Amino acid sequence: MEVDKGKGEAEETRKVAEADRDTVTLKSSDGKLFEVSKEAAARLSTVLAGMIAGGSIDDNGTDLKQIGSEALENVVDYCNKHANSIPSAALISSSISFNTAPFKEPEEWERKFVDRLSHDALFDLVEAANFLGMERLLDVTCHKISEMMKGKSPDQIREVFNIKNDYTKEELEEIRQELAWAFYDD
Amino acid sequence: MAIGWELTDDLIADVLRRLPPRSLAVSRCVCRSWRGLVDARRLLRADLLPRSVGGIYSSEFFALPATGPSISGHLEFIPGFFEVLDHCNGLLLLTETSDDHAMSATLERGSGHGCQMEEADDQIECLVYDPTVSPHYKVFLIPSHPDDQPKSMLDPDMKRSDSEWPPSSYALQVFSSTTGCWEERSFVLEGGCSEEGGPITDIKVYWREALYVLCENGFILRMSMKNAKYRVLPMPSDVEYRNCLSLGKSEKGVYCAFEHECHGLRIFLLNESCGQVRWELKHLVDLKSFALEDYFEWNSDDDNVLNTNAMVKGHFEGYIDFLGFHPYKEIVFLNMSLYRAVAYHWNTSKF
Repeated sequence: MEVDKGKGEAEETRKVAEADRDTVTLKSSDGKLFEVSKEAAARLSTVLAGMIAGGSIDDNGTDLKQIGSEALENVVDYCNKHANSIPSAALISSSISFNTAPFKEPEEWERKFVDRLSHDALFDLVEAANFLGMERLLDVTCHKISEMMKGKSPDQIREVFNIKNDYTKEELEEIRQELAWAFYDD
Repeated sequence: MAIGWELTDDLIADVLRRLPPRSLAVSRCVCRSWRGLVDARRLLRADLLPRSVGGIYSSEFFALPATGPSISGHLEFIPGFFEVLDHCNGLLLLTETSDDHAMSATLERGSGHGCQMEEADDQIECLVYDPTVSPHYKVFLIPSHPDDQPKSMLDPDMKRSDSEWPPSSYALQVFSSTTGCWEERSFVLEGGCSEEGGPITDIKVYWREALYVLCENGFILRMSMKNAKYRVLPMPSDVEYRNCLSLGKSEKGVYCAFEHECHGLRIFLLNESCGQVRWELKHLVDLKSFALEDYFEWNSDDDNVLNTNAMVKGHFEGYIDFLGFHPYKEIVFLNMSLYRAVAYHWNTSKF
């Protein structure tokens, strides 16, 4: 409904925050203020839940010095969208790996939400989600990054993520041979 | 935009662990730090382990139906197959009919790697292979009688004169697939134990870089690959080691199952935490309270090896033999009177 709230101009946001105790105001590292539903924040973020419960929420804007305004805007946007979405029936991924806890596939809107982000914004959002203890958002963002790697060659992955190849040719050949062992049917 | 150095290791690992095995393996090629993460956190483990258990090996291969492509139990499809010397985590150590050199092959691949080896009656061949740690394997030759050792390849005439047991060090011939060579490795005794010596049996299990080998005197030699030391561990108390027995690895570690007075089944877990070694009794059941149904078929859906029509309440009169443990679930496979192979889920006491 009021998705645009997250983009709040400082003055207006503060007014709303004072009028409505159902929201909390968050302040990014560069001093911008964002408003988010208290219920959604407490439900989606263990850190915010703790701050709300512990009374360390500042009505003039709770300082989140580790999070830039773009990432915080995305966090708030996500919370608001989440609060307004109707969760679909649990779709537990038939996940490939023992390493992964059962993971509910991203909803359509979550997919769109992360798809529109630039790489930088996505990585910043991963860090923000991690910092705020937002398990679901961390799942969705990490899932998105892993999707960007699937089916790509090492060279393509390095290009996409701007990573320097620090192997020697011989080392790479050796690792490839271990791979050949793992994926003999190629 | 550089994920490689912007995100913390924990977050990169969180991304990588979501990759399917193939992409995860590719990610090891991207840069050193990623490979370090994948290896240190053993993210590839799930890939290299079969995701479902195709069957278990116990003198012949018992395929579980309904889990992927079936494999013939008799292994004749392997060229030159003569007999299985050992098996470990899906890898088989085989001898060929043509000559006496051994080859090993995985069941999945059917393609083998060779290693020259002389078979002898007075030694136990142990295959050591753990795909969660390394794609490489080792073959250990353990002399059956510790008194006979070390039979050094370098000095065949050298023999130990004293027959104290356990010997202060065990010298074993070891083949490594990394180097393709045999070499001698000494395992030094750690902790004391003075008992009557006994020949080594072929009952053994490999778990977390340690090889557990049962001796006929009722002790277990635990040989650590990490520090080249060995220990003498006792068997569970109140148990006659001569009884029908099975040593294996399953969900939580090394397990030992005993037949007790023909119809009883006891299952112990070896607890090695906190520097202490003790056997914990995990399960005790009298199989007489079950009866074997004639028509039952071993069925396995979604890898849940549960069968409720196999055994019902009644009076089981036969005897049991152990086929082995499920590698990661608390299930023991039993041979009921040479008649049926059944899976017993001991946590729920169900067949």
